[in-house]
Amino acid sequence: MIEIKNLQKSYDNERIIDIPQYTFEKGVSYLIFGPSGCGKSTLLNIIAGVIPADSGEVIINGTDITKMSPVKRDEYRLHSVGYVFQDFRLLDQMTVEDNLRLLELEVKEKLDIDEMLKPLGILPKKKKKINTLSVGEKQRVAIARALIKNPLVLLADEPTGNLNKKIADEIMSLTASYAQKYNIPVITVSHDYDMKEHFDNFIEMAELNAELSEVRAND
Amino acid sequence: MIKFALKNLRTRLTRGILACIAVILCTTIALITYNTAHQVEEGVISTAGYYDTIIGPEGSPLELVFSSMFFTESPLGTISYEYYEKVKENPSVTEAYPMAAGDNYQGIPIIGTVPGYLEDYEVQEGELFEATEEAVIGSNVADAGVLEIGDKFVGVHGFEENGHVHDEFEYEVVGILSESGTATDNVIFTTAESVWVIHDHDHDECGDDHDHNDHEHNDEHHDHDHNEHEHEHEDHDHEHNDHEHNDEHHDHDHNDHDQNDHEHDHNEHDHNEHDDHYHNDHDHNDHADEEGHEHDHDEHLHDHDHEEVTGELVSIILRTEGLAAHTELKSEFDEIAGVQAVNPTTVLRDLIDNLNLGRDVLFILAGIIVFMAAVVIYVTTASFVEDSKKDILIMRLLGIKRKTIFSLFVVQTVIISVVSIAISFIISYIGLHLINTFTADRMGILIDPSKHYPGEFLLVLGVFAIIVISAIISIIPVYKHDPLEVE
Repeated sequence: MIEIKNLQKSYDNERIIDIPQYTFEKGVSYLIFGPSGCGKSTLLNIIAGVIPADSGEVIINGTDITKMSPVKRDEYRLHSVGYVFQDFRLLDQMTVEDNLRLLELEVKEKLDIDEMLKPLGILPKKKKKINTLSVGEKQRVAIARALIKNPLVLLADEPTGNLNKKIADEIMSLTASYAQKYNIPVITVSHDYDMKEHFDNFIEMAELNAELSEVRAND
Repeated sequence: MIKFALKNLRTRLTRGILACIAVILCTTIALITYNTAHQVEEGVISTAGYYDTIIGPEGSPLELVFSSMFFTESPLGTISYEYYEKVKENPSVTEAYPMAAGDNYQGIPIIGTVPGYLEDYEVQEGELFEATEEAVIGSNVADAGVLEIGDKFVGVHGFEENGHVHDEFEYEVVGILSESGTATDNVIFTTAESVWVIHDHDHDECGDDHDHNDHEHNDEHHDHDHNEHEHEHEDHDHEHNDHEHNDEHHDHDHNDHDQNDHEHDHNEHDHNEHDDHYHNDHDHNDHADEEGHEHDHDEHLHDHDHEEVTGELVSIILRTEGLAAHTELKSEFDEIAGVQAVNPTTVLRDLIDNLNLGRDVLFILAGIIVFMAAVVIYVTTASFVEDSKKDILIMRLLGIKRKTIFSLFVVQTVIISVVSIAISFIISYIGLHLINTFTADRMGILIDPSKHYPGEFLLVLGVFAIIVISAIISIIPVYKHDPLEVE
């Protein structure tokens, strides 16, 4: 569970995040919708501990990450946050397996790569370099990397930005399904309104910013 | 960590190889320069160190040392053999060796001396020379396939390969010295008498025997003038034939000469074994085919045993009891016109001191090379890190600690360093081996490619530090980038 209280963030004296309170529940998938520059990616980065908030609290399983030092936030992100970045952020010259084993530099236990790749359908690509994969395959590798560490929350920033409709639907459905599968909150941001059907909850960023927890359930 | 660092390096193989080449070039040049300079200096000093005095003609002391100990310079001239006789009797002289020279074989100097000079050297095959015409060759001469045991050869006058050929006198190789890493490896040794005999022959042929013979034989012992004699090879042959001597076996001739039917002619001779051959040669030369001279000759030889071995020396190499003895000898011989006595170690130390200016210039040049190499290493390493910038920022975005990323790149640079330095040592080993063939052949100084100095390890440590510092300096700015700015 993620609790947000009085969260504020400004860039160049312009406040783009101003959320009085909101709670993301375990086992529920959320799609935050909004135009470019509305602050939805910034919200994900604050939740992930990539950037600090100006004020407010972000409490994940009882821990307020806004109070953490940058080093602690890195540690928290590495172990507790599964983040599927826009444009994947994969090491292009390395193999699929290497991109996942990269986490072993910090995570002491041996990761079960095959177990993670198999359900995503990319196990045969395990030894392939990222730069030889299709966009859809890269997206799956990014999801695998986010989930392999059993995170407390899964975040996805425009995960379908470069995909065609069919593959985008497939990826969104897959991402949303992890909420129940792993009993974690799954928060996805997108500017594509049509993707709302795959998620339990659909929130407009403007609403999230304007009023307290005005959530519109996705029928 | 190491496994991942290796994988990361493999993905940037070209840049990794470039970085390695930069390090290898820098390190190899530095290692070879440093090692060679030290080993040559040590080799020169150690070669000269055993003997403390060289007596030779006046002139450049350095040329005297190099011509007497390294055989790389032409002799300054000659001095009288009587000086050798004189110093040999000096109780403060523990060792004294005459050095005669004047010829070469295919550019290899032929040095005339006494077997004692080589007694500390091992003979790998055959034995040391004893008789005139016998020769012992250095290991490099044998290795080059120039000569082998049993080979007969004739010397060429002077120190150039294309001089006058002494084809009237044939040497025979009777021994090969083991490799010693000194100048002896590159030289042919024979008796001093051989050198004198051959030149005596030569002078005879040229009608130019006055110098040698004036020295060797006082006029009062001769009732004839040497120039009146026909000192020709044919005469020699003739006399040999008279004594049933075979031209091809001079040594045997002499023995036969003593033992056969000519004993009555020579039974008054005090032929000691050592001087026998030369003595007979003189016999042949001086007395030619004029039978009437035989008796004169006999008397002459009989009366002047101590002059049986005569000739000019290019130098005398000595070991004395100590500094006082050397100083005394030096002042004694320096007073003689046309003669000097030098301490080889002092001369070579002076040379090295004089070269220090040159060495300083070399070090400055080497410093510039190392600085440029350091810049190249920095640029290469920085380029390597810059190329990895995206990966570093992705790792930061994933939450991998700066410390871990830093360690990863340090491990990578250590791998590059270790591999490059190891290759540098291998290349410098090969390089030193090649240099050794040059210094051993030309100077008789053996460079041991496996010999290392503490300074080399400091140097390698310096290179290592440059690489690691380059990596650190390069990686710090990358940390300042916002991980979200990854393109």
